[in-house]
Amino acid sequence: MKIGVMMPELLRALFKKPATVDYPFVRLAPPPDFRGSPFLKPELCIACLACERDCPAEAIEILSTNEAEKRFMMTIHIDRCIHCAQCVDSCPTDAMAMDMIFEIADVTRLRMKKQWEYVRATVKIKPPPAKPPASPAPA
Amino acid sequence: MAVLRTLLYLFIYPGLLFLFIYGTFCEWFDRKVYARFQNRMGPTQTGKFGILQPVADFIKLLAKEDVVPDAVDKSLFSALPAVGLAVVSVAALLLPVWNFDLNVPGPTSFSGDLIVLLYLLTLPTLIFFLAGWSSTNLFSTVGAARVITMLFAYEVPLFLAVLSPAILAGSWRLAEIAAFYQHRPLLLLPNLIGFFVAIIAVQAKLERTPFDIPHAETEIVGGTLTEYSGKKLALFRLMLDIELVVSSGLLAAVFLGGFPGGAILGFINFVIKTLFIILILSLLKAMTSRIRIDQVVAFSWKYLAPLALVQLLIVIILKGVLT
Repeated sequence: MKIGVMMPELLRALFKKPATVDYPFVRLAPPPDFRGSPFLKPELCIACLACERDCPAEAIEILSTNEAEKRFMMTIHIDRCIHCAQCVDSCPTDAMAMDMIFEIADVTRLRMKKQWEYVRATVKIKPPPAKPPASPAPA
Repeated sequence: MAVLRTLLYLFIYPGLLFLFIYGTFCEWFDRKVYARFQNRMGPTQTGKFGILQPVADFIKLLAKEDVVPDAVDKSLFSALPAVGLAVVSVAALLLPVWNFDLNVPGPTSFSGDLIVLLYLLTLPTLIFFLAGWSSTNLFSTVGAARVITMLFAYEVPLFLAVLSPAILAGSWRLAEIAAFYQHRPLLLLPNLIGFFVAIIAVQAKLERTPFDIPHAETEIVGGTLTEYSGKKLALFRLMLDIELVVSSGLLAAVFLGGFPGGAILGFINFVIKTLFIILILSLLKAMTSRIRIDQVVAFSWKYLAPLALVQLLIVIILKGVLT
């Protein structure tokens, strides 16, 4: 790097606004498609286990707690999660979503899990991605 | 009464307390300016604009565990930080800010104090060498060898550069040199080459970025200070801060016409001029990246030393013309 290029750049930076913010006190919002940690909307989950099957990190665990009442318990192990959002893609009812929280460090991995206990929902499975119909669909 | 005054002189102003406050302030200024050069914010939270951050760091280090390795020479290892701090604090007493009056010279202003000041500024380097060497750690030993190699590179140009204004002024006494240039400010201009050389040499003496080879973190961990922790490391860092103040004060006294205007105005001059020198040093730090030890030695002997000699030649010719 030439001094003749570097020095004016540095002197200009001296009078510019800093590129960084005062972090723990001022937080920038994460970008719109930021993948934080997955979370469940229990009212939409039909317990199809698609997310558990597809999760590459085996971070999702769904157990049946009461067969008769169709109660299930989902545990997301954030310490194993690789934040790939595959569960969001796999979910047929949009019950999984990613939050925007990026400060998820903790003192012990035992605390890094989220749990929901819920009754299985009976919502319709979302239609497959819309393809332009070849012929007009019957009414 | 005289004893009390001496104690006041040693501990309050311009002794340890003042040097602590001004040294930490200079470190804060350096960090802040360096951060702004790099488009960062620098310390912001501790005190107004983070001005107390170096003090907070110092206190934090004081509170930390102080580990002395088994294999070291314990008395030497423990004595070095205190000795280093004492050496740079004594060097600070020689600056012509507190003893500017030529008619009533203070006990620390005498003919030849420039030489003593340069000598006292060499000692911290030797102390760093001893600190690294006595740590018996491989990284420290490598760092110590680099410290002493760099000493041979930058010390001669620094001495030549600082002595040429003294030759022009015809005095080895800092207060007289400063007074000479205050009367003839235009004569500062022929010393610009020397100023340039001295700035680079001081940068090397303080082991700042293009010359931070003795503690190159990416290759030899902490270098000379690898084994130091807790209070001893805190003292070493304070020593570096005060060394920064003293060397910038020396450059300001010799190359920027000293600190005219009595006690208060002279002190304001001192602050402005030392901060100006620290600004240049920070700019140099932000502008460059670390070079190798052989490059430092080659650069010093190929460019800095000849430039200092040219400066000396200019000064001698000028002196002949003037008288």
